[in-house]
Amino acid sequence: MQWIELENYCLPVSEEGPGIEMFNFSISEGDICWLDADVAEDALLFFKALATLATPFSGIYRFEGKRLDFTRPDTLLPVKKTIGYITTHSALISNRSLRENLTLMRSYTDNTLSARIDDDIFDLCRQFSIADKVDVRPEKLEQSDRRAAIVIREIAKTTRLLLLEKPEIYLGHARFFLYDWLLRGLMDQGVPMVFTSDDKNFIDSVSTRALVLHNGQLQEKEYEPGSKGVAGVSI
Amino acid sequence: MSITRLIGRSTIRSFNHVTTLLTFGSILLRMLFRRPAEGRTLIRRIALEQIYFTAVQALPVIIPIALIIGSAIIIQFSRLSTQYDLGNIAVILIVRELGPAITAFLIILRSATAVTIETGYMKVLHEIDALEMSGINVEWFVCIPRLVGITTAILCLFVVFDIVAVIGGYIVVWTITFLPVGNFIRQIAGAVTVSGIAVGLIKAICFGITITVTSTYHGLKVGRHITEIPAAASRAAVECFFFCLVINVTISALFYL
Repeated sequence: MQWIELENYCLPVSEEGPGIEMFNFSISEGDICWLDADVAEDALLFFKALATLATPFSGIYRFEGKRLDFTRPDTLLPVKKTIGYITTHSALISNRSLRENLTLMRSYTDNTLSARIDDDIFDLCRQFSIADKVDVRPEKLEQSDRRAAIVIREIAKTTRLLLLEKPEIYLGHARFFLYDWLLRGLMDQGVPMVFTSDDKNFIDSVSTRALVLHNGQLQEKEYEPGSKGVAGVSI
Repeated sequence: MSITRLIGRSTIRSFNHVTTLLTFGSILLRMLFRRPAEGRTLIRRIALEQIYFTAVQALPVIIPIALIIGSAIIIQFSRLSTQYDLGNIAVILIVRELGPAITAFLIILRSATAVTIETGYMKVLHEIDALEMSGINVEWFVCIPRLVGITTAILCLFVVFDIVAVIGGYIVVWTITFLPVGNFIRQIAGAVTVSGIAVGLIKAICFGITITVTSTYHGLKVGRHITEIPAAASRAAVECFFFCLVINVTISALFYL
């Protein structure tokens, strides 16, 4: 069974790109999709569609075979919290400390004010060198530290799908090795991913499928490892 | 475009806007009474923070204003009313009309604009998306604590305003002037009725709900650009003020006509 299926999906036009015309897409366990988009804004729109953050004009979104109802946004929340969303549009809550941001989801679901970070999450904070900054609010941190916290928060979810925007530059080159190692760990567990990237080595080593989003048209093409590209499309 | 068409269009637009606000308000009130189990502890803490920001931090502003207005009214009416109706006039003007209206006006200036700007920034900076992606219901987590906090704060500040304006105003006038205000406290005690207090409380609750619904609605309606935030804050403040005036007059008319 497909984990996520988008059928005859039509999205509103984005501000900087042509949007995405009617398309079909599905993803299941173990799928690692490289998305090659001519306009970064359209790639983000596609990510938002998968994350159920963008309401479609028309079309059906099925999550684990069950049709989602966009007229009842509260029913989408259980789906949203299983999707890791690591893009330039991901954010931390600015009036909460990093610690509160990392424990917010647990505090909300468990009805607790305890802001104790789990040991494995704190280990990740240590590895990303933000362990000594967990009591600071996000605006006082460097962008790369904020993004590291976002990565930790999203990976700490019970992730059923990961959406990644250019992982090779998201945290900077210095932290990419650690990020790459974490992602590969999730891939080994069969977590499906959709990502954009310009890093040939990364694309070649992880992709199992390739999507092309040019001029607002989403198509699946045959992926040719080693070419950093897609058959029939010049990059 | 003809004037008739222009008037017609703006009337339909205003009507749509008011019905949208009413729908949003009804969603929040329904959620408040349904009280989802998730996040209650966090929401209680945010509501308490909101009461602190809106009520406690506003005290240094509202107390002097209440003293000035109370003193001015007592001075003017002690000259005009031959002292007989002074207590009644003070109750009618301060407790029934000016108290709720000025308290609401101060809350709009201090908190409604702040709430619109805060939620607007959360929208522009994708923090609302981040909350949703954590499975958090935005209306429950962002709007309800502000609704509870601001309404409670208005209720408390309204009581503070009335007490300071009436008692403080009397003390100021008695201390610094020779105006005849001898029976004032007894007259006040005679003029205050249960319905008078109830009307004040009803007004405060209605103002709290109106201000929160309007300010959070405008904040959440902000799109992607930071330049939309000042416009949203200004629109929210003007609408809050207008709606509060309408509610004030309507409740007064319902109870006293």
